[in-house]
Amino acid sequence: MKTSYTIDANARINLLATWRECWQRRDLIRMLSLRDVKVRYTQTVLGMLWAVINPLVSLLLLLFVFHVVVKVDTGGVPPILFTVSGLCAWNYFAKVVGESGLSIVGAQELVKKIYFPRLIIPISKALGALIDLFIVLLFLAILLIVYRYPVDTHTLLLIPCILLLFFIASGFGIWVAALTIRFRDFHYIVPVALRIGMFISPIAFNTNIVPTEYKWLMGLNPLTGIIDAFRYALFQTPFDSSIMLMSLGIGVVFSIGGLYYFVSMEKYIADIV
Amino acid sequence: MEAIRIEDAWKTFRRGKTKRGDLRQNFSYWWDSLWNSTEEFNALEAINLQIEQGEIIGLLGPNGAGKSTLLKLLSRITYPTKGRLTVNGTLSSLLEVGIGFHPELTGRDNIYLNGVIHGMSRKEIDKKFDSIVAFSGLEDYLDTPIKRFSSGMYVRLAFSVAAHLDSDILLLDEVLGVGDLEFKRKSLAKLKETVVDGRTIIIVSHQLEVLKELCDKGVYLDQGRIKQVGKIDEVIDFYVNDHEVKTGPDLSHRKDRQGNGKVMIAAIRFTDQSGQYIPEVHSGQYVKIQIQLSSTEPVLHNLEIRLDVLDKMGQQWLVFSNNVSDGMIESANGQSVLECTIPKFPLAAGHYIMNVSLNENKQRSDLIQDAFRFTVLPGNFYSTGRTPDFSKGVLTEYHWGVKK
Repeated sequence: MKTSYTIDANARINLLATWRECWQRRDLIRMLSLRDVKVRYTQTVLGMLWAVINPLVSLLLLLFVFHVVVKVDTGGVPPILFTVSGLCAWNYFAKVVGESGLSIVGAQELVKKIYFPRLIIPISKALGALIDLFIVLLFLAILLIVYRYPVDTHTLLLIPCILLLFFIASGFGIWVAALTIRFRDFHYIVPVALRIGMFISPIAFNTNIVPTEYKWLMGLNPLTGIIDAFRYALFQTPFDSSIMLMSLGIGVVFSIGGLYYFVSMEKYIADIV
Repeated sequence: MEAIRIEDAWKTFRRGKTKRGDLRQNFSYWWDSLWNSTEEFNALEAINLQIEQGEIIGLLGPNGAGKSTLLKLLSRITYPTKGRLTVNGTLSSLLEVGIGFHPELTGRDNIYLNGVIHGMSRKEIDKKFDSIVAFSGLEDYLDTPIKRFSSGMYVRLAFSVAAHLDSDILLLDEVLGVGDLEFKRKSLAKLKETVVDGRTIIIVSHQLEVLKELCDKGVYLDQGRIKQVGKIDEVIDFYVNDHEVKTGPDLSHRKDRQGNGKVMIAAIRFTDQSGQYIPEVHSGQYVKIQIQLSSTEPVLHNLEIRLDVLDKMGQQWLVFSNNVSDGMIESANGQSVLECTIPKFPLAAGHYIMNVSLNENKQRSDLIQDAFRFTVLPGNFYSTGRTPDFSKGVLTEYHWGVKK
């Protein structure tokens, strides 16, 4: 731990110092995310199964609407694989953003009584939710084996994809966490935004089938790039590189903005929470 | 070496309206602030203080003086509005025991959780784990979720982790007020011994006795300002005398109330048998304590009034509660005066403090800590003209003789 410090009312925001401090307190990050996971799954009867049941319900719904009622072109990929690959990224994102909102408010007992970098709270939420992501990925792996899909070097691309997904999801989570402290309305805005997001992200459909004049709209959605990248890694589905760059660029810039906003708010959290 | 340096630190809050809330509140807040100057108050004003390494400081002052705010600034929970604070060395703050404890998790998990929250690393806890467990005496309950712990066990576990913190500077805020005394002393002794070359400790407490025993130096805060710094005994004496002067029997200006405010306790006074106000009471005197109520309601129901009499060290001597003596007052009008008749006032000479609380219809309407300070003068309790040669305490009627 840093042994000495100066608290100055006029201190400037220093993102690097905040990151260094979070790294020093990595044991706390780990314990907090483990606590969430433990508490969540020891209290329920079905335990870990819930991490499968939730996405399974979305999966069945999407399959029915997009692949039974409306037969969407998947570029030759079996519909169930296609949908699961889109859903794993989306589900993780939605979970992180949904839970981050009240994360600081929920931890106010801690926040008002002891110091640690406040950023640790939304970060540990994003880390804890990785468990759910891995469970869905495991499910995806089983499906890949069942459908005898070839696994090759492209599959390794999943690793940077997951890192990027983690970065963007926690970036949005941090935004929402900071905004919810100030404006409790975000507690209601976020679920609505997520519901919209679920349908404008290419989860059950392919970005390529969107009419050209509306494609740029898909580019505004940071999840488009990630889902397309997941599909490229798994099935080599071709993607539109300008849309991909635009989408990922927006995601990264927005995430850094969230980080900045959060750190600038950090000083006042205990006073207004 | 200097452990802490505070230079011109200010903390300003906006009174009443806070910035938090929803968009609509934020908008109206912004609208208001355009037209009216917002009312601000300083929780801390121009604080300058240096604390040397190894000093044990008692921080005292009335409620709302800014003691906790000062500790929160030092531990970086809140930030100063103005000024600078420098902390040399690692700092742990124990503003609450068992922070981060989760009821669903086991004793073992909670030791780790609480430890890392206080800034220990996992390795460090691994090393100290056995010692923490032995200290708590809860070896058999390590794998039990702590929601099944008794409150005593809970506090023991919390203190055991706290006692193993080896930071250079330690901030304690009223944490000594909970749990069993024996165990607290053990923890405190451990805290003092672990750092050989002198650990700096700042303690906030209303228990002046505890401060006197533990601290070398005192800092007296009042209304956000430092009023005196010096040897602990001198500061306590100064505080006790200074504070007494200001607490008059009129309570209508008091802001530090708890309760729904439906009825307020507006004044307290002692009177003699004929209802004449008396500023001081003699032991054994016939007195009445009158409580003036104030309410906008015309009629009040089911009143429970309770007066707790303590000395300045926080030791309780008496309770006057109508609930046990006469039962609830079924109805009274909003501006009534409640009266407690005491035929022979039973306290020995000394200085005392009274806390007052009032419930209406089972709901806490008003509670004022330290509402009233009064002095009891020696009196003729035993009708012998002699008074016992001790100060503070309860007198009761008794007789001595030889068994026949």
